[in-house]
Amino acid sequence: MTAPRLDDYAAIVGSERIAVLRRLAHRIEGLRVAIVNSTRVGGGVAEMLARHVPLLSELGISARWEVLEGTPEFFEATKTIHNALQGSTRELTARMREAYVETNRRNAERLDLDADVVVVHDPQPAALVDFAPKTCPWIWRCHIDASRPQRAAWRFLAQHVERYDASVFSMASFAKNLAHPQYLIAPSIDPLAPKNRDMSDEEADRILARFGLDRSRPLVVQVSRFDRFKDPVGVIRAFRMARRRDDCRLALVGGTADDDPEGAQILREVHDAAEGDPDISVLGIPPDSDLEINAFQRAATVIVQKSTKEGFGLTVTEGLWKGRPVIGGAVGGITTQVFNHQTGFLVHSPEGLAYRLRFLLNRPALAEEMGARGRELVRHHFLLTRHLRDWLTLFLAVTGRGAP
Amino acid sequence: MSARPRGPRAREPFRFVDYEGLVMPTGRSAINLRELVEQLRTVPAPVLHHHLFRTALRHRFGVWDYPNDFALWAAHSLEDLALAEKLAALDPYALVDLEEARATIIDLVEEHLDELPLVPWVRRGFEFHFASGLYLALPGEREVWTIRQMRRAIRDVPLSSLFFHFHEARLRAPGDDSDDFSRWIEGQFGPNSLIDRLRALDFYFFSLADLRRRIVVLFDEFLAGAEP
Repeated sequence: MTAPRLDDYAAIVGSERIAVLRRLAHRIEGLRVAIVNSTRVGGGVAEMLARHVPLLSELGISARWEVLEGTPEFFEATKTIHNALQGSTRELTARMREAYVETNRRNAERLDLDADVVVVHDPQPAALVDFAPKTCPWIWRCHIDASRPQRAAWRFLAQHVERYDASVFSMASFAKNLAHPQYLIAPSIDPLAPKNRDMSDEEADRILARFGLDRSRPLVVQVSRFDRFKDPVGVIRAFRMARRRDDCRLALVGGTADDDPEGAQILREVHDAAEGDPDISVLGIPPDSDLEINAFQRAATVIVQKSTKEGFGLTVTEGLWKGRPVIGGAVGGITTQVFNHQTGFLVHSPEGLAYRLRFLLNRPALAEEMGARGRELVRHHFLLTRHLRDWLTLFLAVTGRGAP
Repeated sequence: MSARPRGPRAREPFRFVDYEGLVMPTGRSAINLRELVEQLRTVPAPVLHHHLFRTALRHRFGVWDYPNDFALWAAHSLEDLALAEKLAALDPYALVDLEEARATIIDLVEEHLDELPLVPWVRRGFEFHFASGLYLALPGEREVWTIRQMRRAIRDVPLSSLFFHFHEARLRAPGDDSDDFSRWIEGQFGPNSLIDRLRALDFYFFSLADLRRRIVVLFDEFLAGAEP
């Protein structure tokens, strides 16, 4: 299948929105943008970049995607930074700091960062700015909920971030006290990607059958990396409380990313918690299992994202796009997507999740209305066409080409 | 436009603007009403502008009842409906400038605080986050020569463009309480009832989607000769 082109999105968002993208891009035609992150596969950021880069190119922007290379020691350090920015108290040791800085120094020599704008995603490559020749605006794009970071970790990272010309955050609450301009850009999903494209019930059923599941009973689904902050064990507890009164099954579906060494450990803990329960399926799937995720979300009666920390929560966006109500933890970007009684429910505990699960399992008509509203919310605010528009607007702003 | 114009044709076309922008968080926030007042004293004027004038650009579910960010926060995060009511009643378009707006809001919140035994707080995660915005008004491609063409364009343009021509228009010409559409119609075709009805729309109480629907109805009634 060939990758979708811009005009393919007109049927979903309207041709006017596509025309606006072309007009914005026309003003910066040929702009060279270097985009850097730390993995080409796995995780929401890599997924977004895989679609943004070709579409920016189609719009006439010369976008180039560079990927940081690091040792296991480096990724251990960046995982510690990642967790510390989300509040974990684990200390970033001197050795980790050294591995972090040294890897960035080596990558600054290796990567092609000669561009008109450089966009660096997340903490892993943030220190590149210290070592690369800085001849154009550099933008730091933070996807993490850093609203209550471990202070020492943020101080360490901030010394690098402060050298940027602008920062971009997913939510206002993630913004920091920085001297340079900060912008808000919500992430997005691609409605034509295998993970989100339309899928018939028959196709979804065939995929589900491979995992020993079907739609004969209500299905509760949480799709997310096996990460402590996604609280998969809390979901199991909540599911068991709800199942005492209402018949249902649970599927915990998750991949792992190259830059996430902790994932395997969490997956083991989840298997232990679910052991012996025939109604719980714990499915560790490879990072490219997009059609499988699509099928699970479409087969779900209710989608859950019980995070205790969340950057934005793209799995929530995906769930809403499938027209399903979502019950999410009242944290991070989930609160900008899940609105009580409108698109689902925000909850604060396994008990709260159990209660709302029962509510939705017993009110299918309301659940369907919420799902429909959720899909429209995503159509207007969280699809990649809106995301591209925001980037183009930001490029216009930082290059000074936004004057009428 | 490729469509054949029907009705009188203007001497000069109306050109729709692409209005695209980004919110710029400041990193400053308030978790209680006292902090809100303290921040209000010192936030830059563009921050006040953003929270008073651009609320309509944000998506909202349900009835459009709180037209600025301060009233919204008071109602939905602080859950203080008495304060929300006072803040909602504030008409920023009637104030002389942003410094008058700043003084008025501070007075209003402080007077409200005087009546309370405790300073009200919000739960963590529901703080008021101060932000400004970067908005670019760029020439669009759509130009219209007749009232009928204008009606069709208003129906189709992004809501942000409608915001620029209806809400922002008032700020671009202080003292002239009118929108770009009615100004163009008046300048090109002379006075008519559509102009009066567009200017009489109390746009502050509608979401942009609702406003679009109402404006299109006014155009339809005018074009059908059926307006009261």
